[in-house]
Amino acid sequence: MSTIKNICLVLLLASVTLPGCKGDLKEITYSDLSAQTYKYTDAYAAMGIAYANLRGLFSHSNWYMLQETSSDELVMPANSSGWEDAGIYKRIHLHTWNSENPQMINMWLQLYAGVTNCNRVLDQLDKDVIPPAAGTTKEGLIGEMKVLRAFYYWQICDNFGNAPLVNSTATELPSTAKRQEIYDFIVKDINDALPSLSENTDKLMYGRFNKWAAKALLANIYLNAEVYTGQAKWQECLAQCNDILGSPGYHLEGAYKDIFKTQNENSSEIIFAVPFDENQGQGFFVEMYSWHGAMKDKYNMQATPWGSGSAQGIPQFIDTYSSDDHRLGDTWLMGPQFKSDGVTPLKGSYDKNGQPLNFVNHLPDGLFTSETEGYRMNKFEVKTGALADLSNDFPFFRLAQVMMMKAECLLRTGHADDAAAIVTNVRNRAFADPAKATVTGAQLQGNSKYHYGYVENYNIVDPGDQSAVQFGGMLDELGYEFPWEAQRRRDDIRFGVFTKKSWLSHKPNGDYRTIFPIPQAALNSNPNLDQNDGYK
Amino acid sequence: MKILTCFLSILLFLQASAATADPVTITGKVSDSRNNPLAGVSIMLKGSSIGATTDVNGHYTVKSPQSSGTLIFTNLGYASQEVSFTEGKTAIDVTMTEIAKGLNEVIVVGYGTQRQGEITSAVASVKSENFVKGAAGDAAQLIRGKVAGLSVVTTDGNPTGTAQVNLRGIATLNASTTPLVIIDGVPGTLTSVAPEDIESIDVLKDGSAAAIYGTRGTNGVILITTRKSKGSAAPKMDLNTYFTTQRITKRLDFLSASEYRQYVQQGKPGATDYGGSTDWLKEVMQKPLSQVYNLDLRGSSENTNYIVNINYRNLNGIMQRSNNKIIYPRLEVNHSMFNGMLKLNANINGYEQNYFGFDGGGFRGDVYRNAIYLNPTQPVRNPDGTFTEHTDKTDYANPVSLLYTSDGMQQNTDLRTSGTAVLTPIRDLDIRLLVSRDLLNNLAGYSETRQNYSTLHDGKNGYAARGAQRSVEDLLEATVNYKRSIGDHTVTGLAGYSWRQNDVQSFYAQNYDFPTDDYSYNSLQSGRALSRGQGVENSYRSQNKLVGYFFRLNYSFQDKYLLATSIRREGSSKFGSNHKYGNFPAASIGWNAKQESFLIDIKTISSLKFRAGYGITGTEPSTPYLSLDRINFNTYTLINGQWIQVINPSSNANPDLRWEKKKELNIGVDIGFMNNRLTATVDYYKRTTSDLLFNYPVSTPPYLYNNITANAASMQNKGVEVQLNFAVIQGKDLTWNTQVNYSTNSNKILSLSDKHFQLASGYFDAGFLAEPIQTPTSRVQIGLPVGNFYGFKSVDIDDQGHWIILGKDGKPKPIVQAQADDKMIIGNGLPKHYLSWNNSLSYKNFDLNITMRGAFDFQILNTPRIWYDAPVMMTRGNLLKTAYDKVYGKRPLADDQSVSYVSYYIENGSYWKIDNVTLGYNLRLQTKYIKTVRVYASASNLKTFTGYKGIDPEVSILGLAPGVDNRNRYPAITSYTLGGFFTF
Repeated sequence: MSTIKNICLVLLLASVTLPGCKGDLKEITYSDLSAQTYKYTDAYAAMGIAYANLRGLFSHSNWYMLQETSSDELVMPANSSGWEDAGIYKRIHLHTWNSENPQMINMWLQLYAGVTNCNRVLDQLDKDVIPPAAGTTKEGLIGEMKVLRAFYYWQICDNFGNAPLVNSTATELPSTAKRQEIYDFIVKDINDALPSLSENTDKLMYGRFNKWAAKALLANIYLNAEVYTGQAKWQECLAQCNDILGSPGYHLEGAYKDIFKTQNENSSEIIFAVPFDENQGQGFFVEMYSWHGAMKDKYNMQATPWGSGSAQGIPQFIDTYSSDDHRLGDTWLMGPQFKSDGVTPLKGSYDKNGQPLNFVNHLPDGLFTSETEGYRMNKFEVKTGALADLSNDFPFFRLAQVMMMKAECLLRTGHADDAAAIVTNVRNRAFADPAKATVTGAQLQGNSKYHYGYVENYNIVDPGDQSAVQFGGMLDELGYEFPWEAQRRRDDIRFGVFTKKSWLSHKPNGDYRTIFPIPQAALNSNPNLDQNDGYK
Repeated sequence: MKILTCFLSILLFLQASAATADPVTITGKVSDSRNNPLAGVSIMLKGSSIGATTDVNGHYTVKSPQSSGTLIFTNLGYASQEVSFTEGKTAIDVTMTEIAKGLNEVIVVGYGTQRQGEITSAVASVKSENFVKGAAGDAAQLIRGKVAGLSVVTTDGNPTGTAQVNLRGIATLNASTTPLVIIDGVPGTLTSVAPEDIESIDVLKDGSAAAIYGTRGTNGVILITTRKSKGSAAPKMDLNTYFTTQRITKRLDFLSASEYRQYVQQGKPGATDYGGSTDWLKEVMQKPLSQVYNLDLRGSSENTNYIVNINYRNLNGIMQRSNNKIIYPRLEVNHSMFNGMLKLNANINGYEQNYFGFDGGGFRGDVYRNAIYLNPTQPVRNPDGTFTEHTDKTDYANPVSLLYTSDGMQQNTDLRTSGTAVLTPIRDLDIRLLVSRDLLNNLAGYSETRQNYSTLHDGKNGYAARGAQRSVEDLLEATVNYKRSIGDHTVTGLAGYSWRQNDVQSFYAQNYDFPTDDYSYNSLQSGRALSRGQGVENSYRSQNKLVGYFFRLNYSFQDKYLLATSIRREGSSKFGSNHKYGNFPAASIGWNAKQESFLIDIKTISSLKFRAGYGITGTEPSTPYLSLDRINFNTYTLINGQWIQVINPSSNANPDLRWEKKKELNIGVDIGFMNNRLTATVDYYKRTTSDLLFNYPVSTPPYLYNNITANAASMQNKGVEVQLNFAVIQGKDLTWNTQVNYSTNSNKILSLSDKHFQLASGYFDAGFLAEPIQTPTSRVQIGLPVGNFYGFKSVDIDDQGHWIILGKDGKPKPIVQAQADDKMIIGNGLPKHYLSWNNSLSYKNFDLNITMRGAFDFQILNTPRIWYDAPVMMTRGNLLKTAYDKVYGKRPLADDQSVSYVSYYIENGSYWKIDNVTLGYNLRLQTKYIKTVRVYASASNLKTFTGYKGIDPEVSILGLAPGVDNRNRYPAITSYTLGGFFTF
């Protein structure tokens, strides 16, 4: 018995008296911060993450290229560099995507991370954990965060239709809300917030939701309301557009290219931008997946674009342009390419190894191409010495877009000539000859110039649905003005093209494809969710 | 008490002396049961210090001061005998009988040792004489194929690489499945000591044995004992040295320049003749010579002994510049004081290591990858001497340039110090205190010149990086051990306390845009990128603790019925505040049936023991702070024209994080025949791991991120292990021992959910194939084993040369229409059966060791074939000669068939290897200086029998995507060694 006593005594001595060897298991942090003990002092630093989150939408396998390559504007075919990424881009073009296409979960996570960040910041603002910044009010910041959350929910509503609607920091697994519910929620939240928002258009509000950016968001939601709810809201859209057009802060840029240049921040045309910076605000690198690696030498880039590039214009889309339209060259990279000296030809690297790099506007199909086929991105300036990430801000809402929304509403409500005047106004800067800039109401009301049809081996072999596109002229105008601006999918859907027409290797594959499936990974982790119709 | 005993002994001695008569001389011969003379038998005159040993012929002579008395004959492995002599009986021949081999063998177990006969759990012990001979890179390679159930796999020939070790299947989802390694009582790694400095390796396989280690015991425990100084002896020195050269096991058969040119002439898309003729692999490989020297000096006096071991290794790999230079010093001193009441041990060891490493670590796989697939018509250099590059091609770099336009060093200094004090206040009570510190310092430097790919492709204009890390692991363990025998009952008790703290501090910075290449990595401040807000600066510190209390009780009745129970209560700082502690109990029983009356007289069966054990072990997460709601400032947003840092949550916190637990049942039998010439050990185990820690997919929303480290899944491994040892020939000149080890394991995921984390699908994917495929390789799914390959099942090829796969409806369809849900299980990368056959022969002074081993019933994803057996990749570089072979006997793949992950590239991985053959010659010299010499020649990874088409079917067996033959892997090697062992 005494032995056991001795043992215990020694153990006790060992554990108590030995220096430093405390049995306390509380974690000591050094390079990690705990939210429970951190004292919030800067409201912008706390709110900023919800804006920073927007940048993640712009990768090739996320929201941005989904908007473009599911439409009749862009395609990302496999090519002779051997690259295909297991066919995930091909399926977007073919409209054969399913819930396991990684773009679905990537977009889902990025949009809901925005929502979740907003919910947390709103909760912290509400509970006064975050003090308002100088010159702001708690109500103003809450309003701004609610509009930002509505922005994310708008894209959720637009892309997924029916999806969870979570407005708190609770961790219960949510169930699916109907598209109408999400629509009603965001419209109400934005309208409620409008009075509290800043009307300033200065540097402080750049890249954030002031009143005008919120109205541009609301106008976009109303513009597509018929798609979302079956009930058109042209007048409501018009009202928001008129408010914005009546504000003094915004003007059209004189030159189209200037909206998209490297230093485009604070452009007077931009109403809401997602700001990017090559170092601190990374996430915009469209040239990396559109351009051929040899293009490095054209701009003495530090980075080398990936492979032979992929994201490129669908020839049938390019063919709708008038050759006098400056936006053709301002938007699309075409023809022979040269080094920065302007004379030394760039060469191919794969199936055209050693041959001059000359981008041509024809594609055999949307599945597999030569390295020099297809017009590439020329819209966003790539500065000399560019890194992989660009510093060009992405103009999400700009004045021309508000004007075109207004024009479309007028057109659809029987004011074709008023609409044509606005569209002409937008076109003016793109034509040397003002006469060529002019469009008529009849043109806007007429059929699209797009030669729809299914292509094999460079030729349309199956024209598919050839019925006239209502307001097809307006759709074409949107096409000239907004390629690479992530609008085409919405426009194709609104004009009834998306699931009806054939282009390149795409054939219609079901009306339900106007919304994407709920990602399989989301369904897997939350049994309360319902898959969208058609994808079950 | 002690003094009293001494006094009594002296008294007895005096009494005995008093009965003296005339001195006599006793002589005789000692032999074994087969009448072979026994040398080195120790003979003691009972009650005195007078003794002798037998010579090589078994003869002995003892001079006794008395005319009568008793001689005690002892020899290891034989039953001791006492024979009395009288004046008239002074010629005494003795025949000694062998005791059943092995039963008295000392096995190292957790916090102590046991005799083999006392063991009740699944424990394997390998002594140095049974180690795999020849060159060994780490401790595990010494016992590959020697322990049933312990898979030791060497996946590459990198001189800094270590073996992959896996015991009894994959029992955890966490990345680390490596067993806990304890070196002389102090935790370490398989490379913490030099392999040549190891005396024995013991492996605790089952839960009942490992549970005393609580945490970290889940993957089993490998106990390494270094060489010791024993008994009282004059200083002795051993020198062990060997020289090794290596060659690549197999070269993948790529097109030569002339064969490639034929495709240029045929106008294959992308085939380009650059005019040269280059064997790229030859340009980056070398015939390496490695040297290892191990010198140890041992000596002891009555109360003190010491060992000094110096190990120097200068290793070079088959890839140019791949090397590893290490010095392992070790000094151990033992001192006994106060009549043995206090024993002190001090051990200072560690290593200093230096090798060429690329940025952040080891040898870069892209050197090999580029060397196999660069266009063979591309010259190495341009006429102006610069390296040829085609940086517009994706993933295509001159491998010679990668090697020689960069410089890197990794310097590691590991200082392991430990001290042990054992106090024995009364007989059989040991109070032990162990204090140790393992201090590992790393210093790294890396640079790339402006001729490097980083400048040509990424415009870095010269690049350099520096890093340092200091990691300290402190350990304090106090144990009390008491053993008591009363009649037939023997009880051993152990109680202990353990405190362990790990502290890691690190710094890393990289910069680029340098004015000159001349600085290499020695002037980081001269680059301009950091000042522009580019480059990387990073410093980090973390700390975590483990505190444990443990108790063990062993009970034995007549050495016949054995019982062992233990419990460890352990706390980890890494868990949520209410979940810090876990309990890890174990119990095992043994029945030495041979001791029963009904077996004791059956001569054929020399030993028979049944064992059964059950134990629970735990696992903590690999990183700390996961239960905390952490935030960081790692991103920016634009506010008022300035990019400001924003507050970003680091992860989804899990305040409920708790222990992962593994419950293991082990049932075993040990049986010996013919005086244990033939022994067999069979173990059956069933291990169920629950509350598996993993980064689980979780629903977004409501969570910010779509994964969280949590406890949810459970998994089961079941298996059988068989170990057979047979002394086939035990002749005077010729001996042959053979050993066969077999193990089989079946793994199954039981569940992937708990109440918080519901994986409705019942699966998640693992593994990843890079650009241009970008798809997971494997699926972890409920009801199925880990390691399943999950991809499209190719069944045919169409007339244009495009894959035809099976759709989910079971009907063939073109791959262009493939959907993610058409994927299916197309193989499994984990071997179901392991078999090894080890032979040790000796003839007179020669000995020959042959170890063979194999793994069976598994598949390998041959990624080099996915990439290079595809004609479309001709646009990038070289292809395998088979790239244009007919697929499914029909036609070659189309030039526009994109690179695809299909079942065509899943191959049967089963293999049988002649792993090591070593021929040695032993010479006992009578010279003054050199006492023994052993020279040997050895070959490792000599021959592989397999249908697998890749370099070597010995591919990764770890993680959740095993069986993927990485196209970047450092190639497998065959090595040839010449060595000598000298005793001075």
